[in-house]
Amino acid sequence: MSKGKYEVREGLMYTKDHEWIMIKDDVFTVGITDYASREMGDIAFVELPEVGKAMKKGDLLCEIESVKAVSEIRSPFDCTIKEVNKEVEDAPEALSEDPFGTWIVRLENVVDQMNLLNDKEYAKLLDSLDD
Amino acid sequence: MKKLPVDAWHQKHGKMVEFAGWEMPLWYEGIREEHLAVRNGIGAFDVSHMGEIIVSGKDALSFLQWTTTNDIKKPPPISGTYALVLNERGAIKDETLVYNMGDDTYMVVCDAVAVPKLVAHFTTLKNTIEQFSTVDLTITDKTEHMCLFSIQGPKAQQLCISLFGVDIMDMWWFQAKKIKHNGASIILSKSGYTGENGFELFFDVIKDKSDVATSLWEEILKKGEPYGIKPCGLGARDTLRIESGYTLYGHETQEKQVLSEDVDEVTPLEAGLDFAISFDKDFIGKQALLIQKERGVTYHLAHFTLLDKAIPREGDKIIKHGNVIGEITSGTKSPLTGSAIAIGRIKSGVTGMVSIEVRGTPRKARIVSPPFYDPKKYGACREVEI
Repeated sequence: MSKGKYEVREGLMYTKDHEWIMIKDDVFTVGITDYASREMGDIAFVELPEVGKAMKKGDLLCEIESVKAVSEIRSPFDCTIKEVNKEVEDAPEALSEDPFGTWIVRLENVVDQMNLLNDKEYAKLLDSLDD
Repeated sequence: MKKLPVDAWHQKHGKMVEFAGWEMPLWYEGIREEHLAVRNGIGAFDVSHMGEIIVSGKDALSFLQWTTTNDIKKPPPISGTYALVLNERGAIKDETLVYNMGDDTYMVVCDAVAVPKLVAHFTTLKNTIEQFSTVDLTITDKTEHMCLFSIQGPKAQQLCISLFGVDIMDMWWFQAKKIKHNGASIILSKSGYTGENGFELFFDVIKDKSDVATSLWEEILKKGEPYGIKPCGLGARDTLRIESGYTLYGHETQEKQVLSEDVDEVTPLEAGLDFAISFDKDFIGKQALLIQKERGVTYHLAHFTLLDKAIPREGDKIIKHGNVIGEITSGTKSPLTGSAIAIGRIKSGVTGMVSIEVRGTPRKARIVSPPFYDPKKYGACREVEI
């Protein structure tokens, strides 16, 4: 978590709320970006949604609790929860240590993913945030 | 916003936040890593935001005896006494360390947020006395002219010996020594607020010579490398004191700040700080405490370990048998145990299991005795050598 430039992985899609999304065979795998993880600080607990639950855009996808605050991750689109990563419940520090290598939820039946950013657009967004 | 004397270093290495009017490092590498460095080896904190109020003159001792709860006459120079400043209702204005520096001079070390109010309190009292009599008393706020570095952890003593080459093996807790180091005069005090053994370095900031502070800070980190030293921010400072079960002004202790219908001020008797009161002397707030002692306290501080995975935050309600019985004052996740832990105020007599309403959801918690760590394995009284 040392200070410096934030990592942006090529080939992933991003939300403006600093989640990364990997799209494969209509399944959307979601995690938090290096920037989000470093902003949150030490992640203490993660509360995952129920598998099979239908979500509307903006519904609470999961809560990530750091030592200092609670961050709510909102669903970027209408979807269904296909899978959750139970490992982050038991070892939430993985989200601090390796945010791009640690997925949180997998979504299916996704509707309206038009607002996602590609890696270049997301890097530009990070540049515009003056730290 | 006020800046620390080695601000440039912190800006470069840490995540900065505003705290009590100061721009402070919240963390460098991460709260958990820094916390564990202090428990297992050593951590260095720049806490120069802490207040230093110098009270001096022939009447300084009797003035401080009257304005603080503990008997500060006892410890010889140079050493400190943990003492509380109370208002006339017995509520806590701040928790302080009063150092007897010798030559009728005392240094009151207080929380940054309380500096203006304590200076005003002391000055008002001095002015009141002067209405009727002469008094030999000077009150000087040196907060912005002093640096305070804190070196904490089971390896802190070894590092200080290698840094300063002075004999500190037999120092008692709160004892201090004046030392010279690279031209700077340092007050080296055996003290801290992490639960671990540790030392604090007070020294003057010489104008336009902030490089003295920077080079000492860098030297501490460099010489601490073999011991696994980490620079630590306010985040770890808070998790360490919560894990030790220690109170912090503005959270566990306070005056006139509405928290709930029943509790708006906290006295030392409610905060479990009886050890810092000397009823043998007179002091502001004593009459109120005597009345409360006779009636009995209705609220007291309690410590909680959560069975569920959620951190209670300040203001969260504590519930037993469907009734609200108190409020959380501080909460975090213990990096040592991995459990959420909290301190709060509850109605006296409640024991066992309670619920804490965290963001609308009741969470199971057990009332425990502090510290939250195993004192045989961690803290200043550990039995395990590192």
